[in-house]
Amino acid sequence: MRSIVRLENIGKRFSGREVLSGINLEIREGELLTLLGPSGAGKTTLMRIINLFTEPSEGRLYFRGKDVATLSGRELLEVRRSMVMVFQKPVMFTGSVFDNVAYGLKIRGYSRAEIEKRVREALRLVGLEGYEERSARTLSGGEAQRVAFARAVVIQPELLLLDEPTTSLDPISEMRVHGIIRRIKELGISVVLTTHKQHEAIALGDRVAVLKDGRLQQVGPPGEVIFAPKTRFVAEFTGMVNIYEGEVVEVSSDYCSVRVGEVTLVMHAFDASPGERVCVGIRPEEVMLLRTDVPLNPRHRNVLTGVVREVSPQGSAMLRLRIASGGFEVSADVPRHVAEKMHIREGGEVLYSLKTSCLRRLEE
Amino acid sequence: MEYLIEGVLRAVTLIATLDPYVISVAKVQIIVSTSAVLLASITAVPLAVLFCFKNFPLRNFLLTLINTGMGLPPVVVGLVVFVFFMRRGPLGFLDMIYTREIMVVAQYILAFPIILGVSIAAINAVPRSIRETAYTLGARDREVALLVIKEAAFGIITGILAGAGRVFAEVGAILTVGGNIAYDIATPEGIIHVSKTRTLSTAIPLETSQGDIAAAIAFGLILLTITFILNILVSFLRRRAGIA
Repeated sequence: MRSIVRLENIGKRFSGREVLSGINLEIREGELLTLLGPSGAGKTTLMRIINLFTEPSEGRLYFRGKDVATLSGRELLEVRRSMVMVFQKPVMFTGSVFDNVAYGLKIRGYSRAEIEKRVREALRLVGLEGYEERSARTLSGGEAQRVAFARAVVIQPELLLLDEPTTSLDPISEMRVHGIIRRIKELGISVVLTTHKQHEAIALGDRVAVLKDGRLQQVGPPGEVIFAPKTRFVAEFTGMVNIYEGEVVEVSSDYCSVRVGEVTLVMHAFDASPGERVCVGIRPEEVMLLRTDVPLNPRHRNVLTGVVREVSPQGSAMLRLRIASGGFEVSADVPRHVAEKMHIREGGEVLYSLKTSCLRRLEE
Repeated sequence: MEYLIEGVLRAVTLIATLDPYVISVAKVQIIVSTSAVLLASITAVPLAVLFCFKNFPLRNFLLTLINTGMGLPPVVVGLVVFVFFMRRGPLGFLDMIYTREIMVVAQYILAFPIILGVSIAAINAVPRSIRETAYTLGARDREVALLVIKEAAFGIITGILAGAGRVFAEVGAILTVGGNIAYDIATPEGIIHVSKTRTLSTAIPLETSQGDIAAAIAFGLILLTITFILNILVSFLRRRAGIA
């Protein structure tokens, strides 16, 4: 896939305070890239740099292979007109919904007939057909958000930048906005979306870029970011609740053994030497509960017994168990019906396994 | 009390019968003050946009000056304009003293800072996100400026009407530079008195001092009607703009 935007070593400082540093990232044609990070990670600043609102303090920004710093005024306007940003709290211009959606087309000199046709299509895309004559200032937050989407998409940009589009929405409006974003992507428009919600980044993104304190932690497909997080931060931020610090006790060509308190965990081999302190983790849904009424499969490694200390609902269909094996604690997510079948209750004993392939080493 | 009722009745008759003197005085007032407000609007609104869009040195100092200008005493403005345009003054060669044009100049100086100051406040009140939205949708500077003016329109119009209210009501400046002149002309219907530089606001004290209470009340009624209409417009637009 060709890249639309390429960021090369981008950094930004505000009054000496570093907000972004060493950002290398490309936005590819037709993809939906989600920028995931907590508040203050630098997501909006990065979006503003891509949209040419803010000049980076260092580094280069390429649009379709051209360094934007070298472009003439006319070329720069063309680049600006190839992308649109929808802000976290979109504002409506005074006037009707039609006036708002038509704005970008009017300043580009489209004919009245073309404007009417495109505005109608854009409003249909966001589910607001028939809203043309409504006063834009009287719309609800969710409706204004959708008009902002229509206003951006109507000019058929190459790149759409969505800054936290669902932060202030209720779950139903959020799902509706997700549907709209997917339809926009189907039109061939590349999208960058910032969010602090990991489920959103994962559900929507073709690739996820995780940002912390102005630095990119990891960029990759959602599966990779969730199941193979590189750093402790990415692991924690994407829901890996079982993270341990331990010491490498044995290294072979296939396996490494890591001692965590009283427990020794066997993991797939990684580059380390005995005695080294490491951080390892496993996602709660990867903790496997084992039946006690059938013989144990000898291939299971890291098999432990523990006592269920706490059972709490995790969404509508899952339960989260907090299991203690002596001083070693682990959280496990199991479907409700499985927990019922296995008679799991607080205070009960369980047998579980931490698969070697699911245990991962995390960089600090 | 009788003289008052009689005065009001005579004033109403003067207005209803379109008395040439009363009409000529009202006409001078409307021509001079409307011209001053129009000129001040044409120059102040674009300047307000520039003021809000461009960063330049002494910005805050200039803003203080503009705000001071909003409260200039009209009679002092009249005096300064008179000194500049009097025969021996630096602009005396223009020979404008005691003309309607110099009255426009004096009232322009009174209206300009009000329209400029209120327009700057109105434009500054337009959220920054409006400009940024226009920018990201591909607008050029000029298109962003037009949109911001549109968004600030109610505030700007309020400023223009406030400027109009000020110049229609003031006496000091136009009296000093205009001279409050009226003269007699011969017509087939006889000799009539008409205004050259006399306006409603300058005619009232004169007629009062000369004892023609009916004429003074007639001028007062017309002036009151004009300022009343202006004030209704101001409060209507303020409510629309949400700044009441």
